Amino acid sequence: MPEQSLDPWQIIWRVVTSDSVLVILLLAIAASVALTAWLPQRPSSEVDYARWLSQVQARFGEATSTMRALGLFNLTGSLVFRILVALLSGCLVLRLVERGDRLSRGREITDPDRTWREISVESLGRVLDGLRVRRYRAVHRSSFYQIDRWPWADISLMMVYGGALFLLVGLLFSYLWGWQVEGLILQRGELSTLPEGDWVALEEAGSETRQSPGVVTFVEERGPGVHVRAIDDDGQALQLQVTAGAELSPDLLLALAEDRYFAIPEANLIARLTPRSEEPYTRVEVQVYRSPPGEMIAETMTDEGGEAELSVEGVRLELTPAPYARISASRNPGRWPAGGGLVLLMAGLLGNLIWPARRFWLREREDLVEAAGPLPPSLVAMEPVAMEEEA
Amino acid sequence: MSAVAILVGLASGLLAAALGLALWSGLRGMPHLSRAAGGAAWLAASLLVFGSLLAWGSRLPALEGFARTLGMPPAEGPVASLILMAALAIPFELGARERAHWTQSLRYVPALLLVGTALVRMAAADVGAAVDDWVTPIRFLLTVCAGLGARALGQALRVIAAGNGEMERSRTVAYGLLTLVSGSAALVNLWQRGTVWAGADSVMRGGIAGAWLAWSADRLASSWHPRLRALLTAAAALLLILVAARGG
Repeated sequence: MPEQSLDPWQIIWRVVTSDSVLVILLLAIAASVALTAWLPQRPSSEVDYARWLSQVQARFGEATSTMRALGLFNLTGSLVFRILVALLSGCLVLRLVERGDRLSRGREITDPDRTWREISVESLGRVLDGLRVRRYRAVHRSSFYQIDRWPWADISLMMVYGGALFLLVGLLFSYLWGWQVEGLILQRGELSTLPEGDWVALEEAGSETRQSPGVVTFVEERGPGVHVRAIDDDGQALQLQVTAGAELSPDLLLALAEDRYFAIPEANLIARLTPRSEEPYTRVEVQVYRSPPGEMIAETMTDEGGEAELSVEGVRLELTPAPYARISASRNPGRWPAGGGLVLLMAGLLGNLIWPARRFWLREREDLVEAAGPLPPSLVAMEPVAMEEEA
Repeated sequence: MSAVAILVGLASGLLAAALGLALWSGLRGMPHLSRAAGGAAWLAASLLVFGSLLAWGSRLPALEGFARTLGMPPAEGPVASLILMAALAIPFELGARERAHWTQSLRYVPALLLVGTALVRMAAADVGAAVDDWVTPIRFLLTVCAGLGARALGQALRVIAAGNGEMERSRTVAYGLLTLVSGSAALVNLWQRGTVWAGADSVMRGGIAGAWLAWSADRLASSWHPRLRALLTAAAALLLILVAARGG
């Protein structure tokens, strides 16, 4: 009989759908992702970039430039990482196809692909009953039983591959068409514009946010803040200014994540606000300076909650609490595919852990029970080799 | 000296004794010593469970009064994690009747190293994150995963030394729980913040994802040579332990 040579495509198929290739890909991606835990990755915003760079240079010193050249500060954005993820996706697609094929062929009974060996059990019938209780399928053929978990073992693995693919598609959508903004600080009634014409606002009560449809917002933390007005003796509101170049305004909303200053140019006064803690309704220390020359002329502490009134040189300062909220906002078109993928992936993996895919064969010959193929742990203990070792 | 330090000190002594007894039992062929080693390990595990309960729960209303009575200072966050991991890393077997192999003693090594590190950190002057800031559901669950991973690490060390041995159950339990924890955390993030891994700090984010991928690779490598696969399990477990102890 002439030897059958393997088709090159078959060889390629076997290699790319082999466990070893997937293991190597997963390990390479795991190493890249794990490294991001200890190597600070380059932030996307220019504001954070300067701070990040100084931190990195302080930590790694002269090695910083070499590490940057190696791409260690942008691991998940590197070409190598993207190639790895693309290869993983390809591998998963092929495995999904292969598993689908196995599912359709799994109904049939196949001949044992390994040699028979004796196992020490009382009777085949009792073993089969026990296996059926553990959700194995036992199909009889003339001289043997085929035991497997068709179709659930194959379906659970298809869920794993399908779920992982959905997750990757979701991440791709998010990368291509999504955005994320972190560290937005808003106070009651304030509105902030976001990329692509989206917006987010904090309601007057200061507890709820409103945003454009499809935008997801999350309040990371809340902190102290005040609403400030200055009234002169005639009851007229004076203009206030936060910095020299800023617009004048009759009232100000100030988030007190740190000490804040504002000026009352018409009265030549500058006020400094210092929160006592990071609680949203903390007490705030208020100091008023004459400018020039910069000498302090009044000082007070707000009530618990942040309310205060202070009169100085014919100007009445009114402070009312207006806590700030630090908000992160995102638009993620891949949210649903990623969520569905995660659910599928988890369900498939847990199903596979509880009922792993296994196929083996049992037969009875002259009062002896023989087995072929990879046996479950309960039957492995019945094999003579295991018994000899125990003895 | 706090009550937790005393419990951890006693447990480390018992674990060292368990390791020594298991080693002696294997080398000299004395099965009863193997059972004694199992008993000592059980006792150490009990003390560590109690210690980790005090360390993790000392700021819970139910235990706060008890902790105050004992005059316990607040535990350092990573120390609380190390103690809980060590408690879970101890294998619950009382030893076999037949002759045990010396490599059985390697199963106690991860727990002993974790307890030793906890003791060193307790004695060190620098204090990390206080347990108040440390205790979060995700970190607690991650620590439990890492503890089970440490148990798998002990069995992996044994397989590396002996060339064979069963470790599928501990692997499966650790991987199953890690899948549940990391998957649930990702789903919660997706629901609340709109992205899979937003919000968490980089160690937790990259560490959990990296550890889960490494454990997934380990799960797939079932056809590899037992020693090679055990090496893979050991690497995945070490990464998980590092993340659980460093996170934050």
